[in-house]
Amino acid sequence: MGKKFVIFQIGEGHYAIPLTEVSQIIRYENVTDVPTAPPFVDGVINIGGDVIPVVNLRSRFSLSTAEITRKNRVIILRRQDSRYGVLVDSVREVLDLDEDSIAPEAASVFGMKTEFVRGIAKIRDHVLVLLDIFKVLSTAPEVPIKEQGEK
Amino acid sequence: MTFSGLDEQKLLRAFLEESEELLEKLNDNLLQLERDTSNPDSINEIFRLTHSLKSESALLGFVRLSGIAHRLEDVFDGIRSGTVSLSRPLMDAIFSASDLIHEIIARISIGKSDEEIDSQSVIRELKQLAGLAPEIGTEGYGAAAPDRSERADEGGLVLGDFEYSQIMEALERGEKIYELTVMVSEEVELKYPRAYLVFNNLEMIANVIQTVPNMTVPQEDQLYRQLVVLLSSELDEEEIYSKACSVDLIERLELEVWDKTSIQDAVSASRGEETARAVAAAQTPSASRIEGTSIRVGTNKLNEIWQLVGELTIFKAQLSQLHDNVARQKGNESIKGEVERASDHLERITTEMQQAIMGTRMVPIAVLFNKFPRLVRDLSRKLGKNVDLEIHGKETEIDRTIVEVLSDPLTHIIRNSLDHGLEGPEDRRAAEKEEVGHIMISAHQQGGQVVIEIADDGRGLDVDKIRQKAGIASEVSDEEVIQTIFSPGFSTKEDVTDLSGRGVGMDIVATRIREELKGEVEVRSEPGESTLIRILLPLTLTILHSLVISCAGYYYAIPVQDIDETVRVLEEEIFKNKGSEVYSYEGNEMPLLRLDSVLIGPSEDQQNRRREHNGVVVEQRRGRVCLLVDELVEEEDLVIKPISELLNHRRLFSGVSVLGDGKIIFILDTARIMEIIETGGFDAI
Repeated sequence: MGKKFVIFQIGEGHYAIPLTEVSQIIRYENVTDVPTAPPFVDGVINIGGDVIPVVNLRSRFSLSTAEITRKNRVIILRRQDSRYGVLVDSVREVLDLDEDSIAPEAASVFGMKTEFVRGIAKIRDHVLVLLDIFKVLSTAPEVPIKEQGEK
Repeated sequence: MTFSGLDEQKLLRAFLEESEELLEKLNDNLLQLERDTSNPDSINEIFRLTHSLKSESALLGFVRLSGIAHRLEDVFDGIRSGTVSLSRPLMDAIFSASDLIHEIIARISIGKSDEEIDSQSVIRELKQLAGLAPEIGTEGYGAAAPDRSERADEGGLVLGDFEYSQIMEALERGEKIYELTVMVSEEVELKYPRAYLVFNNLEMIANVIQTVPNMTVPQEDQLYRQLVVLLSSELDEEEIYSKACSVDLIERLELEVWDKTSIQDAVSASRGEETARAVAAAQTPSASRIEGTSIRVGTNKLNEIWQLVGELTIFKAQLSQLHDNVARQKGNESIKGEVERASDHLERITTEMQQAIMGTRMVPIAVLFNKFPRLVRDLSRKLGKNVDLEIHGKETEIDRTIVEVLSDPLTHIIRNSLDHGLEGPEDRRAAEKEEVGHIMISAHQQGGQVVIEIADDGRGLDVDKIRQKAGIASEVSDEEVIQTIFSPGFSTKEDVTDLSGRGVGMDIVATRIREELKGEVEVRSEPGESTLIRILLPLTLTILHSLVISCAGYYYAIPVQDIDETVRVLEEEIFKNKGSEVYSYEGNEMPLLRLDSVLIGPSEDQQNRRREHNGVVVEQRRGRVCLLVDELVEEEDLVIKPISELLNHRRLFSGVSVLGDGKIIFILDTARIMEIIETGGFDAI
């Protein structure tokens, strides 16, 4: 049985996170700057009275910053009572992936450290990295997510 | 209350709610009575309470519960009329009965019946100790029997509580309720035996609920010319009728099937009468009557409503923004007026709603305090100590979520006071103290806080031992030393149980109060004289009256309860002292912190500094500090939301809030800021 995944892009990389972890996908709008937050936190947004941090995955992945375009999306994730937003370059699609089309990760892909990767799948011409997104979010700011920055 | 119109679940819920209130009052009054065994108010009130418990539970068919309540009612009827004297053993038996009632109601509330509970031993004990006459007939007829025979003169059925319960049970079994009226022929010389035959015949095929006159205790023979029998049976009318007819010398025989309406009528008629009687008899002073009514609502439901009100507040702000925009445009004067009115109206409703919802979160602290008299009573008897408990400020209101968390720590403190603080009677005599130990629990509101104090006149804390165990240097004052009982891990130290035991678990108590409730706890003690534990709590965890300030273009809030005062600070009043800045104020120096340098980073532009600043002096247990901010914006009631770890890695904030216009505001954790200043400043974090 297939499981649904949200596929998004950051730089050249295609990433997937389970749809069950996603609560909504919105445009990058009304993000309030928080000066005391770590650099990879773009700010906060107010969703239904809750104040939700928006993590810039580009900067968390040590990529150069890019201007916000109309393709940018904020994926709102929910885990238990907490919600998080992650800013991605674009959201591509929602895909059904069969369990057996997912290979447990073997080596680092796009320079991602293996502990943040749940598995790898090949879709058409792309390699999809199944991301352990909550692990990315809960890891201390000093710890890089990638072995090195992408060119 | 009628039972035909309401469904049983509702009835049960109502019963449970009522009985909870009722039990609490019962408990209060019992404790009061124990202190003053001749207090007529308590006796009357308990009589009234047991009476209504008896009736309510019987109506719902809880026979055991009703039985115990009935027995208690008899006992207090006896006490009231002076035929029963209130001995210590009887008081104990009354308390056990009240415990059993608690237990039964707890069972009922989780959907169990009361039937597995053995009430007989308690009832027997009560009867024995109160010296009540052995009863006649089945349970439930005993004490009320004289009443019934009296009213038999009038010839009608009078339904008591046991009758209702029998009716209810019969209906549940699918039986019908019949009322049979038999006229024994005038010429029969001995009417009682004739009537008895009819009664006996019916007993064989049906369940006789009541007869008028009473058949079990023969009365004056003339009374039996007419016999009314209330019975339940699965048999149909003909069979009942023919059985009754098989006795001769019967003049007339009427059989009536009771439908719902007639049951209801009979019930409410006799209930009304009984209740009226009880109230009149009890002559309850008006002050002790039930104050207001209440229903129980789940906290999560309230939170949901609260959330919605929050959204409404934001929407209101959007609308008023829209209104401002419309107002700036030319023309459309009539529409502008309407928009303005609508906007004002919404504003008023939202504000009122916010206040009302806030009110629902608040409960009198009595819900917590009321369980302590019993705790103190039981524990003091177990420990063989003589303790007088005083409670003040029960009516103080506090957020219900705080009450939930506070219950355990407070119980622990009181247990400690009793167990370790107060001496036994001999020790007290030896110390030339009054033999009776005193514990006082009080609550009152002070500013945005609730202050709870637990004081005892026991032996106090042994400062030297604490100093020794905790390894504290001698230059530290006693006052500071005793606070270490709240330090994490203190009670896990070896031998700590020797320290008059007062430290045991106090660190856990303090952690809960400080971390979960954002409160403070401190202790004072006079060796050999007294101990006082004072707890300071926010009124509510979700609303915080705060001062909104701006700093380097961003908005923050400081809880008003943390603020001592706001001051104008001139640059020349700021001095350097060992590398940190201090503010010299009214002859005193206090640490000074430029908030922007903490929040944004060290200010690069020294020249641009203003000559005059807004300062907010915050006060915590650790001391005072002056925070320099840009502007003091406004005071506001903020709805506090938890803040994500991601935004708070330095833990500078205690929460976050959204203003009416959608602006996001971080609430400064002043205690944490103080801690940072003390432990080496902001460069370290």
